[in-house]
Amino acid sequence: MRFMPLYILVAIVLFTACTSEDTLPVLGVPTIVDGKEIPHKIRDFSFTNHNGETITNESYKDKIYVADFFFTTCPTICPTVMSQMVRIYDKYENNPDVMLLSHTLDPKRDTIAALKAYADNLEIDAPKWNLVTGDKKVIRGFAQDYMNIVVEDNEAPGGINHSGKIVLIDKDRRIRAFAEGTDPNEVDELLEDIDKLLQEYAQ
Amino acid sequence: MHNNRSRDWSQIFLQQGMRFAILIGVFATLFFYTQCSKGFSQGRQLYLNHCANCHGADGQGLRSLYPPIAQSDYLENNYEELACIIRFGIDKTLTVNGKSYSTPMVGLDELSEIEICNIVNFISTEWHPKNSYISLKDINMIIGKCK
Repeated sequence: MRFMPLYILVAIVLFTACTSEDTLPVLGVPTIVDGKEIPHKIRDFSFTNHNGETITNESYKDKIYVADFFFTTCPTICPTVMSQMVRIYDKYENNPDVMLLSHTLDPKRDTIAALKAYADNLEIDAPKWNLVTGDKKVIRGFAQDYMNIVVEDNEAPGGINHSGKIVLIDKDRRIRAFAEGTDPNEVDELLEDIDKLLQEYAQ
Repeated sequence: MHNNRSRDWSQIFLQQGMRFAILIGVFATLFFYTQCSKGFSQGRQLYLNHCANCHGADGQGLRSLYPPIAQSDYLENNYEELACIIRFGIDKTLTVNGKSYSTPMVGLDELSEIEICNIVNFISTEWHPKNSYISLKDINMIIGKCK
């Protein structure tokens, strides 16, 4: 019951997703200011990446990017989601217009050194892909911006229950598509959506 | 007279058949509860539930983070260690197919010996055909001697 608003949001998202074929829809619940609809947008952000560099929305200016939430010691869905993020990284390795952004949900254990080791083991690096940390509450707030759910749960393996959505963000920081990172078939579609979005900017 | 006798025989035969069937059933049940199957369905399902998140559904591993289970020279050479790693986890650097891996793994102590046996034999059937079938008795012995 607590997550009812999110279900409604997802329902809206799915409905909107069905109405357009050519260009990707703009997802999320818009806010209405003075009778005008303002689409859902990712707020300004400032985090620290695995190399200790400050990463802000400016670092992603004029780029499209995919974002997700994880933690390095997560034994359940994270490795699966990460393997799908690696697929995206590999496909667009030579395309500077596409970037990736992974937020840790466990800043206490995921120090910059821990994130660096994880990035090295994934054989990935900035500036294309930043693994970022920051204030725990701030990151959880951004998880909502990116339509991910995070719940502290001591019963869950690793102590945190969270969704594994990979979300596609356009150059105006609007959500244009998403996939369950645990489902390679959905990520196949997301890869097509990334191409579609690139095409949109190429025209 | 003759008819009656043959009916008796058929009844006796039916009774014996029934007893025989029950006996086979009991033995079969005992057999399945004390043996682990050679790979396939049960081991595959256990692998998918407990191992595939990190090591991949196809046993391919993930970059330098999680070592591959399929075609792994480490498992080829240290096959008996597999049961110990599943039960107790591992926290040392391994070299697998020339690459080094140091992400620690926690032991899956919720798995019974039979389940470990099924996973081990699934992995061998699927990816290490040179390794022979390991019986539950051997698994018990290996786990008893870990570390």
